[in-house]
Amino acid sequence: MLEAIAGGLITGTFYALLASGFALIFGVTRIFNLAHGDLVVLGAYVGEHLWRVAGWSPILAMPVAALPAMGLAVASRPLLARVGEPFVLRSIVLTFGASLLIQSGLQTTFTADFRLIVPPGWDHGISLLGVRVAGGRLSIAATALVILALLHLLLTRTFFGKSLRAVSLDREGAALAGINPVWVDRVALALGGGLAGAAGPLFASIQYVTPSAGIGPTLIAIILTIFGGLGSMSGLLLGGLLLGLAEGLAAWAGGAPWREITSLGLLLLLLRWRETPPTGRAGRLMRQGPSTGVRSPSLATFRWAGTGGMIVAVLLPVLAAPRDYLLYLGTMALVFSLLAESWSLPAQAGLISFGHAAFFGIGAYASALLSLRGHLSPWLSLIAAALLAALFGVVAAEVAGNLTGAYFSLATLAMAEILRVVALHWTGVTEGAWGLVGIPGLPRLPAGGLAHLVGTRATDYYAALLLLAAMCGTQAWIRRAPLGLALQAIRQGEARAAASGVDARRVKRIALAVSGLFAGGAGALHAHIFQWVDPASAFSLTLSVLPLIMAMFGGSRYLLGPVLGAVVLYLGNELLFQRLAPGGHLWLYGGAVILVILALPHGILGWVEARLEGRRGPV
Amino acid sequence: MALCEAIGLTRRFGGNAALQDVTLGFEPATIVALIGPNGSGKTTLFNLLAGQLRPSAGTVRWRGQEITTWAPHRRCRAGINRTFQVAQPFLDLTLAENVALGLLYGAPAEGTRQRPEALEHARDILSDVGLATKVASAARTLSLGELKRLELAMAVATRPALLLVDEVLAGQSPTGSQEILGYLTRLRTQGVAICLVEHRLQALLPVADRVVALHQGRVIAEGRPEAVIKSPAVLEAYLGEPVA
Repeated sequence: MLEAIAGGLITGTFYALLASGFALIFGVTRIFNLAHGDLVVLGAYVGEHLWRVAGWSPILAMPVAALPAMGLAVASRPLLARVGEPFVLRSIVLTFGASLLIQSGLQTTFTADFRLIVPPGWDHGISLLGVRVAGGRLSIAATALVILALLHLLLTRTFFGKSLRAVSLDREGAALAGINPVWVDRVALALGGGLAGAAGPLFASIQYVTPSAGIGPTLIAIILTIFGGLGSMSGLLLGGLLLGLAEGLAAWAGGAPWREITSLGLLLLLLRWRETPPTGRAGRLMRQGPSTGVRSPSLATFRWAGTGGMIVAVLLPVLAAPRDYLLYLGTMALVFSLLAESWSLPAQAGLISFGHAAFFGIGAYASALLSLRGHLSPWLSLIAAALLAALFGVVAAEVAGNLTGAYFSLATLAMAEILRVVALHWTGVTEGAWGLVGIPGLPRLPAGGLAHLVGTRATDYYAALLLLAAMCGTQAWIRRAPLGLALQAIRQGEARAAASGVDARRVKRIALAVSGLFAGGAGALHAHIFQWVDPASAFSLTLSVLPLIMAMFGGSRYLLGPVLGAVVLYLGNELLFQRLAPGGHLWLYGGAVILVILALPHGILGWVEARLEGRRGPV
Repeated sequence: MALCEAIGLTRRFGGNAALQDVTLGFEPATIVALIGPNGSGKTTLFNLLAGQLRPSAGTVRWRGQEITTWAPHRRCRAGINRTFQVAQPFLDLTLAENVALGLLYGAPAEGTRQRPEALEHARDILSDVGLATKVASAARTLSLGELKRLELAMAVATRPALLLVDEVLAGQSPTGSQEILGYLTRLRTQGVAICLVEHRLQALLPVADRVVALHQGRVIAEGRPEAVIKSPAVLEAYLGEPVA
């Protein structure tokens, strides 16, 4: 056990280094950089390349690995002005898009192989105070400490460092004192990006690197920054040591999967703990919810388009037959539309979920297990699975408590990740990474007249259409009911809503339960259509954020905006981007997100509405 | 039994006692003016009564029941409501929607249930406070004085039995102030207990049944308006020196 403790503490010092770049950037520029881990992975690939091709030790490679990350970070500075309010939340979405783009770039350049740096002699054990530790790890920890110490000196002893801290504490005040915040932003981005990239080669010697490995370092950085506060290297170090220790002990006691579960659980606890005391400006910014509302544009064009779309949707199987592939595309587009619509409901209350895969995955696995192992009919399993996901919605509302804004989003991300790890490792039930196969599909139409008209898989299609219609009907009803007003009010001022008599906890519970119901239904449908489910497809981070991307792309303010976004992006991916490159979908989704944040604040429908109103002139 | 009682209310923020051992009662159909220099704890008292804050010590009773741990929405439905000194309406909603929320969620059981009726009713309340022309505008378009009136309308929509009004006259013209005070006196005749925080004492005095003066978190005087404003303790609190 002593070795586990020592190992954990040593890894913990590296964690602090890993987090330092993120904390610096967030502290100064308020960008919550969800692509932080991807910058680390970028540096890792550079370091691995140098090691494999030229034999460079990871420590030697650090300065070189820092450069591309630094460049990317600094190049993004001009985009800051276009992010809009609420800044932190929107920067999360924006950097998530950047993360997707970086991941696809890495996949194209370096392929998806697992890479690892194994410097000779690094796993040679050294006896330290009677405990055996790997020599390599010790070098990593030593390097980390040196860099952290230098950073600390920089921040506290130099004027330059003090300007960084000044801007992070009070931007306007620092400007009044003659410090140029734009320059400080640039420096912070360069330094922060550089620290992330430099940590890369070290990261690659600790664990296998793949293009999608970035989420790990990002989560660590988030945990330590929330724990340690923004200006303090010693806070980060303390947090890193505690986190490393906790993980080490958890892994020693329960096995490897508990390492991730521990850090995710700690993140949830930290979010709850840090959320209530008003920790200054950063806390206030993190709690801010989004400001877009709902709109029911009376533009006749939208009504016609919507009705036309519905007619096409009902008749599609007839139009598409006998091409099964087209029907399949239509069905999947409906499933994703359902997911995106379900996401947009809590969003009306300011609850921006980054973990919708949790509902989807629960629906998928529950329905799969009930029909496969429990021998229930697929219809019954679907209903039961959806109800189970709705129940999880209530649980999620309780776990999130009074969290709002970015805090809430991070909590949902953590919850979905926990479920993914559970699904991956609870092999007795879920078969782990292999997934469940042979899930019974929804009944096909028997060959004959009707099947000739609409295709044998029309049941899948109409089941999806029915669920989507139910979801949209529910949304439409909510928008007219008192509940809709309550959701809007909570988003715009929860305290004021409470003072007007709204039981905010109850309303949020309802929103998440209904959202979960339909998202779970989408997951269950997916499982029965593909007749296969695995943790990577059911609980992936991309799947979590996909409904957000689709809804925002179409225009989450509008009733059918998420449907439009889902149809456009899904079909765009299947028909176009997926064929261009293996990571093609990442380019599409990443690009869509960035486009929405920077240029289309209300999505496609918002843009269309603005154009149409512009042509009519001001009303 | 008083409608609402604060018993020994104390609230500390770190080392600073914003309110110390304050005991007060409110009766229906009365207007109580709460006065005191800035920082004397008036808004803190409102926060404790309406539930935005919990006391460090002491209790709040409503119709004899202890409600110290009740959440704001529950107190609102029970009949306590307040306006906010710094107006915080729902900026992207129309005024009618702002007020309708209180009608739908905050009014006791016999309140309106359907959104369209609530919006109709909201328009009536808004014209009572003088905002009839702005019913369909978004709240973010209002001026300060109009925001204060909106706050009042929002609080009244929840059918309070005790209405706590925090500096609603700020930013009103003299006629505007008269209109608002007239509105509040009409509420009083309907049985509502009103507690007003105001700095404009001359406007209050003809209207108030009772005045309570706070200073540094404590009650330093209480009673009929003419007596309280002339009491040495109050004069010292405002002017800083014993006045001969």
